[in-house]
Amino acid sequence: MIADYDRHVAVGDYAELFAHMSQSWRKHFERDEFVGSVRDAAAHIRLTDRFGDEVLAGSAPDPEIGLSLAVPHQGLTINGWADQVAAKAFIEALNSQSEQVWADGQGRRAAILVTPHDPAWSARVIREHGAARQFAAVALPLSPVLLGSDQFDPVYDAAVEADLPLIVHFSGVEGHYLGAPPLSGGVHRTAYARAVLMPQLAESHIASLCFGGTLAKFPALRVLFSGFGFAWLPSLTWRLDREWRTFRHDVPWVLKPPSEYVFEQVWLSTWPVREARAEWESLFAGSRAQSRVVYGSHDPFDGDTVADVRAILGSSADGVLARSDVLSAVTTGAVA
Amino acid sequence: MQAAETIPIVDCDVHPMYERFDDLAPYLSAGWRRHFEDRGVRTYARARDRYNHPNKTYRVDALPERGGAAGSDPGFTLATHVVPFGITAALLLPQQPYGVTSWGNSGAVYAYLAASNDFFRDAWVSYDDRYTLAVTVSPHDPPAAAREVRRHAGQPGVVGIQLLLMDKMMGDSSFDPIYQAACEIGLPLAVHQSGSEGCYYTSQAVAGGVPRSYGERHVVLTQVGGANLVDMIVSGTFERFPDLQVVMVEWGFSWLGPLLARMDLFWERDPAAAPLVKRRPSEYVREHFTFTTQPLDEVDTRRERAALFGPDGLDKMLLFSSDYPHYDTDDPGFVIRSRIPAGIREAVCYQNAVRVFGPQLLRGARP
Repeated sequence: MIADYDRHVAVGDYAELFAHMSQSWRKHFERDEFVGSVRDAAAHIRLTDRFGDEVLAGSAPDPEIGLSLAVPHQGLTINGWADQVAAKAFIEALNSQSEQVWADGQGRRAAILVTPHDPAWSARVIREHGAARQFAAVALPLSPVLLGSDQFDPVYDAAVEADLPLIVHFSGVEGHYLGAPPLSGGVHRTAYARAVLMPQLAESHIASLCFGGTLAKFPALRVLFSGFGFAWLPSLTWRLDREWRTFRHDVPWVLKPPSEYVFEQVWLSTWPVREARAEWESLFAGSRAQSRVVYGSHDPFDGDTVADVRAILGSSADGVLARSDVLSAVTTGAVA
Repeated sequence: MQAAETIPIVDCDVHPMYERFDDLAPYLSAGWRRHFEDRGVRTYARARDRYNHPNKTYRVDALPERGGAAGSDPGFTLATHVVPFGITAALLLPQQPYGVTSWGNSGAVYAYLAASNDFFRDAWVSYDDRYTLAVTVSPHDPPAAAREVRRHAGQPGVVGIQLLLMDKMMGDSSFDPIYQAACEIGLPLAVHQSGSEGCYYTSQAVAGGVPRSYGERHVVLTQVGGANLVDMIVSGTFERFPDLQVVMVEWGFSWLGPLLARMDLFWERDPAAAPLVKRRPSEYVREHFTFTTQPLDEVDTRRERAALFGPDGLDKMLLFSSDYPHYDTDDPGFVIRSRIPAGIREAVCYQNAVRVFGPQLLRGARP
């Protein structure tokens, strides 16, 4: 069975979400500029500065794909919102949409949206939805607090309890909107530069999860960094292990080389697979690093088809396409 | 102990220090001398109350026998590092000036930097012809920095410009006067971490947020080097300055292959997204950037080592460096003999450095 861990779903019109809101929140969101901002979310996830891009709600999945994990990317954009209270009403409406429309509990599953700005609330949301067959993961948008901070422990507790992996995917406002996570360096004025540097966000959060002791503290926690590529992983694990060897007395809660935690608890999705041709050949194919890579189409945003992945990854592509150990046995068993 | 007896070795990252502030006094006006004596001089950039180094930042065996800080005795550095490893040229990158990245008084910055540059020229470059210097300038006031660059034109042993970074990235057009001056006098830029990264509103940050510890921050400090590289390409810097050379010191290089592939892929998909980029981004990088080897990533297998040095064109982009006398110095004997592949050893040890810094780099070569 081929699984696609990075399939984006979206409403074409934010008014579609009103049915999932209380009357007072509906009144709050019924305003032209909010409803019109649905196009902004589409531009963010594309990492483009092109104006007026269409809202793409998804496309017909490749018939070979047996399980697809829907990431409602509009919900990720709350990491650029100023009103983090309204943001919770918005992502709960998207969770209802997932439960009722986007996921079927069989081959179509969705990620539960939560917020980094209210971990206790997020833990409750995970516990509320976690047992529903429609959901197979938890999507945590990124805030400027790195994921190794213990303020996220309630989220990790709940995810582990529900046996759901955490999915981390950029929204596209990182390095762009105030209050969203910074990218490295200073102010990047082009969407092109932000797109190029986006993988560094995953690097920093993986370093934080390792050095902060989160992966040691939650050995059952599984984290999928999706949409960031993966070719950079060996460079990161070399640096992680070197710094741990030098400073392990400073972080005694990191009990083994950080790469060991990464190779057990962290996964990366393939998109954009074309950038990884050289590293796949030289470092991944047939190695332990290969076990970290799962298929993510990133559809419908310049996505990679199953055929694209086969063309780039060659004979080892089928192992990647079939990999399902990031999901719970319950999820994969139900689909199989 | 000799690293390789038959080939010159250029160490592109050696840190000298002045021993006490009084060393700079002859190079300062009476007014600035009084200013610094009254207000003190902050010579470190990292916020030590934010990221404390868990040990010491220097090698204990680099402390001079005569006393003073590691790297403060040109004779001791020569006797314990340059001579034993057969180093033909050591590129001096003074680190005390990194402190100015947290100063706000640009007049004081340039008085101090000029004095520091003159001191290291007189006390180190004149001490032994194996010492070469990158004179330091800061982005506080680019026209003043350009004047400081031109002041050192043609001076024996001055082979580069050490450009400090603050909040603005290197593609910003405010740097143009500095780049113009560097191209005019034919010297490359050398850009080294200052330690201020991720510490202040006036410095650049790593991605994602605030790393908790020194080691965690050190894992991702490389990102700032990558960000400035991307910024220079996206900003069309090398279209404006086709002769500009940039030496990235201590930013690592194992991240380069994936970054170049990504830059090219996204540019080919939508060239109009980066309108100042006129050809494949990786072409600019291969023509204009070099990277020093320290801290060399500690790979585990032969396959990984082959991959580390494998990216297309990297053989022309690597320069050997030790980072002496810092705690994480790469041992020249071990790294050159046992880590740099034989096929690129001469390129990495001196040929690439001579191409970038010019033949005067080897003025101290012994017959």
